[in-house]
Parts: sequence; C-alpha cells; structure tokens
Amino acid sequence: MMSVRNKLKTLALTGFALGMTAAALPAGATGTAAGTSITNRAVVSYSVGGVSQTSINSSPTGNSTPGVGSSFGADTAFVVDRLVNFTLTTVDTAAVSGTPGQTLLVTTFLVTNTGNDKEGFALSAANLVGGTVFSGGATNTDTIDMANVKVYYGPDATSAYSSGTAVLGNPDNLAADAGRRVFVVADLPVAARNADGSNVRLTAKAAVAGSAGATLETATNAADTAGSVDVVVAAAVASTTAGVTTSLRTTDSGYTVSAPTLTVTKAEVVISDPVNGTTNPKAIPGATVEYTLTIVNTGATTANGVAFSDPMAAELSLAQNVYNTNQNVTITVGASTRYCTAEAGTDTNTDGCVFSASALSVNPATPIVIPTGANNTAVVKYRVTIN
Amino acid sequence: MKKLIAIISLLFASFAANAASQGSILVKTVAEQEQIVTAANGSKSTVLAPAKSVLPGREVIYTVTFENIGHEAASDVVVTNPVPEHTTYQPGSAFGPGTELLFSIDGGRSFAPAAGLEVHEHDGSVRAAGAEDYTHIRFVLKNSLTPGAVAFARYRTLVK
Repeated sequence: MMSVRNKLKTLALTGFALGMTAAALPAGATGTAAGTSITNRAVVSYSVGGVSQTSINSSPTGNSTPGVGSSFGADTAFVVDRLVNFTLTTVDTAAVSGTPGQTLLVTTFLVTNTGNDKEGFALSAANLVGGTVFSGGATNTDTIDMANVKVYYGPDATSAYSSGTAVLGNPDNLAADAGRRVFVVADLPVAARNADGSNVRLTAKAAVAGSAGATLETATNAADTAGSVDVVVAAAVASTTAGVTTSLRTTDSGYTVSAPTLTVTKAEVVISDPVNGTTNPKAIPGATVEYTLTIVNTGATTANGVAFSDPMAAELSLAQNVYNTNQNVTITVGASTRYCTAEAGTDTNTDGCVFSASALSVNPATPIVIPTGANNTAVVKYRVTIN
Repeated sequence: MKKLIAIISLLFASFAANAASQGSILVKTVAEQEQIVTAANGSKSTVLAPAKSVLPGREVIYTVTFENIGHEAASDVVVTNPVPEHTTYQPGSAFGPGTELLFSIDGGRSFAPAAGLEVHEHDGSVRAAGAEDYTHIRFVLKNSLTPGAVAFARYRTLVK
C-alpha cells in the first residue's frame, strides 16, 4: 500500500512541476493581514454497496467519523505571518534650492508600509560629507554641510511640509499600504556660495507599531510554527548583524545653493593735478583721483543690501562736493544713478554713507540691489585728493 | 436457525455502532508549502513541508488524502474542498489521479467542468469563469475505492 501511495505522490509532484512557476510576492499590495487564520476542511461523500453514506469531513490528522457540519472533522489551518516590508523614496525631483544662511530647508521623502500589518518606523537623517549623490537624478558634488538636520513626518502621504502639521519624530502605526511624507529639515551655512551642493541621507527602520520607533522589528529566528504569527523581514529591506535580522532602507536627497556671486574690481583715474590741470594729470600731491568700484553679480539670485567699506591711506582725503553739486559718492545700478554724501566723522544726514576712521563706508539707507541678468552691475564712484 | 438470526442481529448491531462512530473512509487534509532543500552534494530538490511560514503572495498546496479503511469498496467517492478564504486557486493546479474535476463559482451550490462555467456580471455581460471565481473544487473518483486503497486530490492556492 505504501508503495502505491509514494508512487502517486511522485506522480502528482511531477505533474505540478510542469508549467508552474514560483509566485513572486506582490509589490506594494496589501496582502492578507498578519494573524489571519486560513482554514480548510474537505468533505468526502461516498456509497457502500450502492447505499449513500453519511459524508465525512477531513481533519489535519485524518478523520473517519461521519457527520455533516462544523462539529465534525477539524480545520486544517495556519496563521498568516507578519511581513515587514516598506519602501522609502525621495519625492524631490531636483535638489532643494536655498540661500546661504537660510534655515528650515525641507527635503521630502515618502515611506510606505508594504507589509501586511501596521508598522512604525525609526527615522534618522544625516548630512553627507563629500561625494556625488543626489541632484534630481544627476550627480551633484557635495561641497558643504547642512546644519541642524532634523526629521519630521507629515499627516499623510501627499501633503507638503507645513510647520503646522509636521511632527518631529517617528511615524507610528501605519496601516498596511499606508504612506507618510517624511521631511528632512536643515539649515544652510552662511558660508555657502552659489552652486554649492549638500546631500542628506534618510535612514528608515521598521519598528514595532506602538513603540514610537523605539523597538525595531526583528525577524523571528526560532522555528516557525503553523499557529503563531512569526515576523518575516522581506529580503528587500533585511539587514542582518550577528544573526539578528532587522530592516533598513536609505534614500538621499540634496540641497543646492542659489546665491548672488559678487565680483568687485577697483579702478583709478587721475582727474587733475595742481601742475597739469586736467591735461595728462599725474598722481602728485594735490592731485584728484577718481576710484571706480564695479560690482558684478554673476550668481543665481539678486544681491540685496550690498554695502562696502574702503579703507583709505592716511595720505588720501575724500573729495567733497564733486557729484551732483554737493555730493561725493555716485551709485549707478543699470541705468539708474543716485548719490550720497559721506560726511567726515558722523553720518549726520543718515543716508548710510560716511567717512570715518580712515575708511569710506557705503551702506545706503535705500539699499543697493544688484539683480542678475542685464542690469547685474553696480558702479560706485568717489574721488580722493592726495595730501 | 435461531443461532443464525442471533449472529445476524449481532452483525447488524455492530454495523449500526460503526456507522455512528466510524465511516469507511479516513479523510485528511494537509496544507503544505514547497521547500527547496539543498543536499550535501549541492543538488537542490523541492519537497513539501507543512505550511508554517506563510506570507501574502506565497503558495500553499492542499492535499486531501482519502483512504478506504472499511471492508467493502466505496463507490461514488466525491471530495469537495472549498478554496480557503484569503486564497486564490492557482489555475490548472487541481490534480487527482483517476478523478474528474468540477468547479463551483456559487459557493458550492452547483458544480461544472471548468470550461462550462460562466460568470454573469451585474451589467448583464457574461464571461468565462476564471480561477479567481472558483469557490469550491470537486474531485469525482471515476472508480471505486477498494478496501485499503488510498487516493488523493491536490491543488494549489496563492495567499492573497
């Protein structure tokens, strides 16, 4: 009898192998919830001697007691285990642009629970040092470091960052297939220059729901049993250290610096001297020299409140009343020219121009704004006399 | 004559007792999964192991074994097995040596060969039933099951 049974089994398995392929895990689809008991009970009806007999329900170990209904036989059952799996992606399609010193710059990520039970996450973010990582698909050289890197999470899978709804910490109790936006918030250093880049890396680990990220999901190491909900960490996220398997995913996003880039050139022309007048004047004592500061913005954004200070040698004095009747500094941005008066000692007219401590200081009350593009040049002129 | 009647009635008594406590067929259902086993020489083989580590998307194989433990042949043997909730029948996987295969798409009320099943949609359209529509699988043994004989029926499901 045994030989017949074995033969049948072999035959059946061979038949199965043909044309059957191993089923892959569905990606991102909510599967049957962990802990669900899947039951089955077959029923056999038969006749003996032409007389129909009471049917017999199956049991896992074999049942021969006839009877109709759930009190006869027993379910063949197993419990669906818990699959720990998730995806972590960046929502940013390009590096997030910021200006030097700008705080609370936000890169955006999405964590999605693709397991079959609710899940929490332990999140951390770090500034990356050097390398070429994220810039919206292209590589970007990491030249600066973000400061004050923090991780927040949003109320759902789609809402953009809002300081009113984003919560500092770890998202918890995400249902199967649920996603949450995650925001890495950081500050750009003041020293950043135009076109600098910085990358950040978000790390997510699945954590036991309700633990607020404190207890990581750990794969069940002990032998599996049919009746228990064991934890299985999907290969896509599995991370094993010293025999303990937890989950881990990292994703990068980046920042790019958008700033003015100012280049300053200073030129001097002798206007007149006491001997030659304005004909081929020479830089001799008593001569008047005009300085021209040309400030060009070749950066990506407008430079606001441009100010400068020009220390002068003791041998020089600022020439007075040389422009626009009674003023001594001209400021031209694009086609627009204005003037200010640098008084000696104190800025009595509070126009922001003053000559004190052997330096000309120009920081106009109406700020100098140098845009990018066609009018990206400011020209400042003033004259000195050689003592 | 009296003696014979006594024997007959005794036989009847024992038969009645048997009918209440034990039928002629031992029915067993097991849920298993394929496992790849690597032998010492590196060769791999697929074996069936009890379903324990089951996750969505995994395959579970149900095998119903039915053995005639009586003393007479059992005829008209029909095994009916509901496709378990949370699983989908794997197309073409039902297999039972010497059986005819029937399927139900109405919770086991009616059965027909796979080719004859049609689903009437709410919008009035009719389509051929697919594996996902099956609620029950029926294996009809073509021949009698002789005393001591074992037969089995098997099919595969995918855990949703």
